[in-house]
Amino acid sequence: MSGKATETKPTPTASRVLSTPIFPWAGFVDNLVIPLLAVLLALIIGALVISLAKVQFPATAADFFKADQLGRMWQEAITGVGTAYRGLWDGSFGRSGSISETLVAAIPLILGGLAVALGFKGGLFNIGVEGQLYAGAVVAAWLGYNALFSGLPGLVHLPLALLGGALAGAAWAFIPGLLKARTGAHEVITTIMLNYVAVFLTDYLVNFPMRDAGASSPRTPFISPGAILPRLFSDAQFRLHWGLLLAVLATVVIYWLLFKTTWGFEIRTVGANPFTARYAGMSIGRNSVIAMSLSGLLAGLAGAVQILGLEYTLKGRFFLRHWIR
Amino acid sequence: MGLRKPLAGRIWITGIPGIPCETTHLSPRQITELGVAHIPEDRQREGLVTSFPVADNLVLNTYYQPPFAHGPFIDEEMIQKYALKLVQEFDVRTPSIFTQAGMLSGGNQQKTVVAREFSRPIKLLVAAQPTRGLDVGSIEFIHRQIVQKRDGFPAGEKCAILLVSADLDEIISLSDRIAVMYRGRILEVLDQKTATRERLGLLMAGITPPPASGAPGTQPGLPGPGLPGKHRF
Repeated sequence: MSGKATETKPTPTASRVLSTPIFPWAGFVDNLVIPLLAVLLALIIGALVISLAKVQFPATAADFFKADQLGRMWQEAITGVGTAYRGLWDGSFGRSGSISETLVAAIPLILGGLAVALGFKGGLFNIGVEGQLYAGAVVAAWLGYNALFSGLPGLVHLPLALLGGALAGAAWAFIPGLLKARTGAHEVITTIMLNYVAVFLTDYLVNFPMRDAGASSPRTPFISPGAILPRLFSDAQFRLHWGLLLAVLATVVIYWLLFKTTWGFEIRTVGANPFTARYAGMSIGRNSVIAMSLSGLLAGLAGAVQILGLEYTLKGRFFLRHWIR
Repeated sequence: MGLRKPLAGRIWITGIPGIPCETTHLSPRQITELGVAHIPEDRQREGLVTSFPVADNLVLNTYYQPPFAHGPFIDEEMIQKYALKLVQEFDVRTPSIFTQAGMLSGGNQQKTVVAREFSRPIKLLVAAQPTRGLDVGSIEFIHRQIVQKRDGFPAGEKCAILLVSADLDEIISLSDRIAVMYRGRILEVLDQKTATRERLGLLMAGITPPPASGAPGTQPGLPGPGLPGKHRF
């Protein structure tokens, strides 16, 4: 039989070569070098902008090229950029307290970034992380301050509030997920719209039904001690809380889910090539809803962590207040 | 294959004892599980996830079944062992089973699809343009695989094959019976022995020539005044 020639016996050497990852550090290099280059480029562009603002330019073009003028302008640029970047460094890494604050600021960004990344893996552009974060914050705050739960021990109360917030985020993201699966409504549009709904709904809630009657500014009552996500250090100047470890843990869990389970395999396949996914018997709609909800779950967790670990009360626009007044 | 919702008619897979054979409204997964394999027309669009490693592409429709998964947990080691075996058995030329499928040549991509579809127990193979755009070596390899599958080689059950192709040489050399379609309808079903390229070509153009045996005076296959006009547009 001529067909027998096609059946090659697996040889040990060939097996070893074929099962060796081609370049195991490829992903690592991409994932580390590219962000670092991006930061470097941002610093360079920032330096140019600072120089433009700081340098006193001569009145006439002829003066521009005089040696003493050039030297002065160079000096001004160097001082300006140096002052700015030293301030940036001091404020973020200069003291132990500022490192703590940097990490505090990173916690919701890690969780929110993870939410967006999970959406991307499933082929979804979840712009609605912000809205889902607010949904999570509202529910976590309510579970935190409500007298119904204030008697609970911390071991029950805190997980309940975290879980409630996460599920609220998931529910908020479930809506655009379902709309996409059922009607094809694009998630970029629907999630952006739901962002406004969530932010303004939060404004309404903290101004009226959830408002602390004794407070001068609109906010909810403070959460009970049992629901507080503890700080990592007892020293009051360090606000760093357990949310950081929660965020790292969430990252590991999501990696495991995406790459070690059949659910993750389906989500990634649908994200990478929906036509092939359908051919292989996977449901595009179902996986879109799942990926969207999981993404919202992480965003909701970010909101809950922010309230329970840092804010202890919910205010309108609490997550935007540094940028938008 | 369940990829399009039928508007009318019914589809049956017969000859599988003990299981319901109507597949009209089944999902792609249900049809796959009945033992139907599908080589899709466009391997990059539908057959492979080009950004996934070859190994993952080889278990694209069996990843959720043992031994590749236990419950929801994927057994990567089993998948890699299986992929290693298939890559060698089907002569997929790849630097590694971790190479992205999109990095392979067209022939090796198609061999990956064929390896995946042929290496599970199947009763029916639907092959759409299985050798389109491939090199001669890969074409020959895939043709041999298809014929072996039909004959039940090297072991196991024989498999029914529905070959969909626009390549006349491929059709004539592989098929036992040939159905020619024009505008969504089967014009004629011919036996491979009586099929000529000319006759197939006319049928493909929507012209039904008189039977080759009859009308000795006229050249078979050429359109004449006496041709039935019902399929002409």
